[in-house]
Amino acid sequence: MIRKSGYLILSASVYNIFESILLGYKYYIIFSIILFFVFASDILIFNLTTARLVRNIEVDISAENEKARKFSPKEFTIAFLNKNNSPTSFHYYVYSSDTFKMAGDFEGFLSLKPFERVVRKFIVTPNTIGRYRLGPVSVYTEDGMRLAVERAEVSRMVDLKVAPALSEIMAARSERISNMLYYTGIHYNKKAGQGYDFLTLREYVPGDEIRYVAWSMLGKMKGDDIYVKQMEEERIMDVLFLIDYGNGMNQGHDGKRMFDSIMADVIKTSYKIRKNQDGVGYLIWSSEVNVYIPPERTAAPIENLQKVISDLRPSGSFSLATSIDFLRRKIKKTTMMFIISSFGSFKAMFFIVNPYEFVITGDENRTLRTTLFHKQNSIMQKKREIMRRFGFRTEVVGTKDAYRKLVSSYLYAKMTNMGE
Amino acid sequence: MDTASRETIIGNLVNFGVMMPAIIMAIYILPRTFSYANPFILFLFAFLPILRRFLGKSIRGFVYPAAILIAAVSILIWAASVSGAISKRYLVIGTPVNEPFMVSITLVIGIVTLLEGIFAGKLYSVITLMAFSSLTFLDLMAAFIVFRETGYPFFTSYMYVELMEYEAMYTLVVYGYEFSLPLATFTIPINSYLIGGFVVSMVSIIVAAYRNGNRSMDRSRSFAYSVLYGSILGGASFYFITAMSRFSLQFLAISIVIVVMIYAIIRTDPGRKSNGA
Repeated sequence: MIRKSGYLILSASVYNIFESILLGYKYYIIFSIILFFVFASDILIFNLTTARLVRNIEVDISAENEKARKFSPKEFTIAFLNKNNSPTSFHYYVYSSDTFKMAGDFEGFLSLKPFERVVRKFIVTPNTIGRYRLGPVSVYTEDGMRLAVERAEVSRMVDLKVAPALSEIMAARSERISNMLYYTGIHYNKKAGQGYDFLTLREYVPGDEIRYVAWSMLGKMKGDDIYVKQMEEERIMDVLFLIDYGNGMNQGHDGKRMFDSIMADVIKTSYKIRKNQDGVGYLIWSSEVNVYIPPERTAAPIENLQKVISDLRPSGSFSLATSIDFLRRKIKKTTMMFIISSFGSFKAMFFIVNPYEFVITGDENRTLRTTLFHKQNSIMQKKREIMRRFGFRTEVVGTKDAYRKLVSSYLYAKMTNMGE
Repeated sequence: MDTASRETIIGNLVNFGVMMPAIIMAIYILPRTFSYANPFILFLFAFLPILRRFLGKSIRGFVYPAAILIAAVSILIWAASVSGAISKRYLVIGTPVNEPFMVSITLVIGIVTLLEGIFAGKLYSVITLMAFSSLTFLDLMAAFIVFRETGYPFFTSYMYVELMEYEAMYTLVVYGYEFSLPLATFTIPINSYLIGGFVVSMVSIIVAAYRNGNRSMDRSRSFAYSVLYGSILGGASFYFITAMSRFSLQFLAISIVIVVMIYAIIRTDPGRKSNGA
């Protein structure tokens, strides 16, 4: 393939020939024609010799397995085999994702003898969770004047499933500090109520259900006293994380991405929930990703989640309504749901209707109106400030300006709408 | 001296060699045509390539546009003064668009491309600039030779050469052969120096290509072949073009030579089939 510099120099040479012929200076004509042929021959000889050799370089890129952990270096091997009958020199580099930090011989220059095999090693350190591809290896060579280049992508691509870093999902604190930080004040308290476990007995009062009467204790103390069994209230609960895995969660930059960071925190929280003998489950949801891990009171869902997210990347769009519909069919008992989303596609604007505009008219009510105005105005402003603090555009509207503000807000929203 | 600055100096020296034909022509023509040029335009632009080297990278790109703006403002002042829009006393700082102005523009193109070529970092830039610079100075040399041989005023000679070129272009395209060649009609006084300059330029291109190819022997070997074959093919093509010019088929001959070579390059590109072309 001729480079930009090659086209430029050939064009300049052709111009040189024509201009020199127009001037009619014989020696300059010879000089310009020779120049043109030198450059053209350089590219032609390159096309016929060196460029054809590159395609006969066999490259294989491999690793022990396709599993990796964030921040943990993983070693890869590239093997080059020159299948040409002549020595071949070329540059090479491995295509990689911007989430990988590369070190070692992932790019370089090699000169191989006929049928020589050379092995190079390089290290990949992922800095984001998910499934990524490494490769192919691009091999290229240039002519002496760098007017042309021949490039070939000569290896397969390798998948790399990156799981969260251990340092991020395991609490670094000691067990004792961890307990103090997370369980102080929420120790297990027994509570009487409906359940299966027996808690205690108490004296019967009218209105108690007959089925809870402890007949074996009838008349034990006074002869005619009746006792009812008190059962322990069932307090174990399930926590379900509904996680938006749409494009809206793929924000951030190299080494600090929204979905990556939040998943590490979700896993850490899940371990805490698991420690308290509660169930934990997940729904990873977007228009293209739909993974449901049902709540269980074991560590299995957490392990499963780690596998799942190492094989996924956020894509598609998130819909709260459809995900809740899905969960409504799946969840049979009371579950605490944590909804995690950037709500990137959730657009809302508040219009607070001012009650002052609707007070009674007439001169006789002037004092009332003045008092109401001062009171309502400050309340309206406070409400507006509160809503704005939450990040919502808020307007106070009345009879005179509601239509204008609604239309202008619509036009503003239309103007700033960047699509999905 | 550190390695980087030594490399830069050697690179500039090689570029100097590549630009040798243009330099020889400039040495011959500049002192002889200087008096026919507009000094303001000449001095405004002539030192810009050197001045740019001493300026920071952030403002380096604004040097030429700024100089062009100054020249344009000066021309506007002249036009406004002549038309009576502003006072005539501003004519002092105005630049008239006349024959010296045209000569200055030609000289400026030659000087700027020459100096930029010497300081250029890439070989293809050097060669392209060498072509532009040499051709511009050749134009002026032709004008000067006509001026000396015929005794016409310099500006008349300049226009005469330009018209001869346009006529040659017309006849080349329409009849396939040129009838009027400015530099074939008159003898160039520095012929021997220029031939030496072409040889130095070619040798410097080989040295630059060797340096460009990371001093790798296999690349230099392929370039050596291209110099050899290029010279043989170039010589043969020149005689082919000369022979064909007798039958008024010079234009056809040049076109055939260029098209055949470019077609061969395209046909032999190994990436052509894989790209689905």
